[in-house]
Amino acid sequence: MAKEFLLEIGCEEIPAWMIPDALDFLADRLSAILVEHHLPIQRPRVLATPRRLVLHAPDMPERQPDRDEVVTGPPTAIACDAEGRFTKAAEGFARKQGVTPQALAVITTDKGEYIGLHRRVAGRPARDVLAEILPELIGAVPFPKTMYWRPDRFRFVRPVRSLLAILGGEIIPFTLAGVTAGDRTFGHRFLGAPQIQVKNFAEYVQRLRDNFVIVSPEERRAKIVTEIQSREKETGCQVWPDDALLAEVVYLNEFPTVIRGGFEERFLGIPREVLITVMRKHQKYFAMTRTDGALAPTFLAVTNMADDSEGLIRLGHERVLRARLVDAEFFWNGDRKVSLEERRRQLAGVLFQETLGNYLEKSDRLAALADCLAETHSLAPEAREGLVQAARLCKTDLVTEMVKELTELQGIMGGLYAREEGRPTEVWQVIYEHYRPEGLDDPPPETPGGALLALTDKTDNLVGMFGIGHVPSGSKDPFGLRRQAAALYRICLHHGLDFDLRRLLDTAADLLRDRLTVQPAELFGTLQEFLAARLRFFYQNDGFRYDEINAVLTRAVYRPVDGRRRLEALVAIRQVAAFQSIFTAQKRIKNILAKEADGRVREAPRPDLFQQEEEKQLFAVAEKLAGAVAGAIAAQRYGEALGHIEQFSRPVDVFFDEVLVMHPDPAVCDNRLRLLERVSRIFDSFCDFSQFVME
Amino acid sequence: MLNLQEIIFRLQQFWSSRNCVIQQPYDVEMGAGTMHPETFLRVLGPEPYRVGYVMPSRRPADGRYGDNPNRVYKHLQFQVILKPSPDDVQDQYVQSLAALGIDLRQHDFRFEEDNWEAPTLGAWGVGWQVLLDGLEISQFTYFQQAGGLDLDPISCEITYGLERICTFIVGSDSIYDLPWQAGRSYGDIRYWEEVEFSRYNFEEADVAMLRQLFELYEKEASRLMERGLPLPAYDYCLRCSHTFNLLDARGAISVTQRVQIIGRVRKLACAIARLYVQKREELGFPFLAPAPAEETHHG
Repeated sequence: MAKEFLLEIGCEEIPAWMIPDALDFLADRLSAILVEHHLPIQRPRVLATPRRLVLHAPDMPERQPDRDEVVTGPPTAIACDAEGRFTKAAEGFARKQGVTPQALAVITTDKGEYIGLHRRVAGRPARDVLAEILPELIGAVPFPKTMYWRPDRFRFVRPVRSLLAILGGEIIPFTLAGVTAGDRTFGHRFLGAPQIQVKNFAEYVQRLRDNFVIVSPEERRAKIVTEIQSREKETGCQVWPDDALLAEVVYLNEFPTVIRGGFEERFLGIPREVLITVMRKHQKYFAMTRTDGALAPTFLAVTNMADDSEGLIRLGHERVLRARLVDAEFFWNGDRKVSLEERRRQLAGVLFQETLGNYLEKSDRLAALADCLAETHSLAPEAREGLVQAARLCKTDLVTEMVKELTELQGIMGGLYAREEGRPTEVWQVIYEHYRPEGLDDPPPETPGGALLALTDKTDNLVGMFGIGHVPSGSKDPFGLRRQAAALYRICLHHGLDFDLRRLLDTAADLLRDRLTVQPAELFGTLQEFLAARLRFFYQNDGFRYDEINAVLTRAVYRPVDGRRRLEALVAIRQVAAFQSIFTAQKRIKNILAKEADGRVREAPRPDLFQQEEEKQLFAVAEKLAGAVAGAIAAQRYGEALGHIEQFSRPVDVFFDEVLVMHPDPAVCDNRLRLLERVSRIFDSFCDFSQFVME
Repeated sequence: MLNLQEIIFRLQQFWSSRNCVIQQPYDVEMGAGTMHPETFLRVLGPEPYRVGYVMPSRRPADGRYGDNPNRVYKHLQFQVILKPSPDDVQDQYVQSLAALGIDLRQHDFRFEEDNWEAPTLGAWGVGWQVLLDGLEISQFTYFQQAGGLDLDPISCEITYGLERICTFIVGSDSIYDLPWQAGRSYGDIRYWEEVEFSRYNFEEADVAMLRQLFELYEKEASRLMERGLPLPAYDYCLRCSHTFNLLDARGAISVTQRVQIIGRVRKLACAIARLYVQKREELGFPFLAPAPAEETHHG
């Protein structure tokens, strides 16, 4: 019979951002451990507040099933003598297992024959098993940062202060970090009872609710959203959408209530980017906009209380925000008294990286890279001039007070201060956008100039860090290089920027040449592999298949947009029957050539050495189409190029059916290899068809 | 409504009745109450200890010439160390706020993640900032390491921002309007000090002299350690740290130098920490024996 299992780990306040992953781990791990222990359950339901992590499984088997077990002993060769009688080893094994040697049997395994015994094992009650595995489960949660607080050196994210563990209403007896599991939970720190006894999950949820704890994150989220909507109705304003903040406040409160506060109109003179950041970062408030899209002098705070009937909480929050806005206003006014050119000089004193030098040097490199990109993309003179200007000035905001205080506004403030100096859109907006995209949810720069400047910055970061041996490994990526590489590709793909990325990277390496400690060959070897992994991710997200990506990846690493065009063309033909011959043929050719490989490039085949009609035909097709394939590829008309390649399918099929490549006459044989290599090169000029996996 | 000095009296009373030694501010300049020897040194080693004290924290770069209603070069902390950290330490803290007359059923209170780290002391801990209606009024930390040494037992540090708490209680918009005592405001007592020290910190502090002092203090700290005197050595280590802060406020420290100097101070602090533990061990860790007063004063 199934019993209901409920576990609550009562804890001092857990950082909000760590909770979702911890819950996932607990649910997955518990299901997995229970399978190992013959107690299969559905994935348990998980719930949490800042002060508790909760697992609920309604379907816990009451006990393990009785089961047959095989206990393996010594190999037969040791356990039996020549006459087949048991040796001392077998008797010893039997004694240890508590049986007579008569009970032993021969057990055949993959590794050979052993002596052993079959045994019926009685299933244990789930309660006993859980009492053993729960402490281990709880101790194994991989929090990003843990602490210890007791002499037993138990580690957890914050001190564990209470444990509720019941199965079918009965306490599961165990102790962890000095806390004994029981059947009691606890209410809201100020509005609820400190001890609440419960028998089952329904009662648990209800009693907590009565004590001002909404234990379900989904329910808390719904409460917050509903209350935000009613504040919107009251004010006629719209909340500034912020999903990350919403996700966070769900786990910052046990009983969330949304209150509305305001600030003085005069603060609306501070840029909206600053106001929103001040509200969200320090105070976790939602900003609001008026119907015309302008920011309203209003904010929403999610409190951990049932109400604010006296308005005391609102007054407090307003006072704190006012103090922060006074600071921001001070920075906004003060920062604009120093010109960006003056700040550029100060960058000489700000280190980018110890080996790679200061930010003044970095911005000079960015200017050089920007100029190079402007040329590649044939920018108009004003745009080119603007891009180079933007590159020179884009790091100056690092020495403003505003960015020292609100680092996430880097770039954005630079752009705003440049606008305040009266610099044109080609400069200020480019600076404004150049850190984007900061993450998967952040859009790439909108303007072409912003995209190009962002590329120079990310290129310089990647080449610089790889060039001094800072290569990300495993979970270690302190400089966020994976994000930088991903951003590089996202920008190229989003804007359709089709150019030779390798040339840009080479230029970056050249500008850094006196500082790099890694040789260029090694640098680009590591970097190419790293980039390929990021690019694969984007192609996969676009729905391309693994083998298709493999076919184009090597070339696409430095030509991501071109790679995508080739992939799009390949998708159209991969089901076409004729191409199955091309895939097979290219695999065969590569195998043959690999065996015969001696590193040299073969010369062109000699028509006079052809013996068979099929050879001549294949050669004729290659001669006829080589130019057409090359022409179509050069013009990036990839559908057309594949149309030409398709014409090889019959000649190669016939060739492999009728012609023996390994002819006894070495000259004939070599000529056939030359022919195959010629054909293979034509195929390869599009992609590596041998990578395709056929269904 | 409590004024600033009454808040201090209440906190002293509260923690005194919970078996804490009530200490006095240390007479060497420092950037945080954590650097007081009663915290930095006492949390080391196995001996239990409970202490509370006010400590003026000087942060030269935070000075605003008395112009900013929320930022000052010197502010007051009330610092509590509970070693080992008791199981109900959060509750005790909450009760101390009640002792200040704050009714937490009327306010929005939370512990929000904020881990503490002091690179110059080779120290870090895990904990929260305490927010009351969105205002940070305290820092709450379970120390994990100090002076580069793993701590055992773990101490809990509670740091009350006294001006912040007073601001909350009084509902004032400017730090200078806070009542220090019935007839005197915070501004009456401290405004001029902020103006003068802002001028000194940003304009007048003699960089060449400070650089020399740093070298001298560092040398003296090392010498004193060789002489087996961790306590006087620590005074000089504190002076190094404050001198560094002054140089920093004067903009006299480049990024590379900064890392280097922090490293030098940390090296001193870590060596002092080891020497201190060694000295206490030679004394037989006297506080491991139960204090005779513990039973009579408890609760």
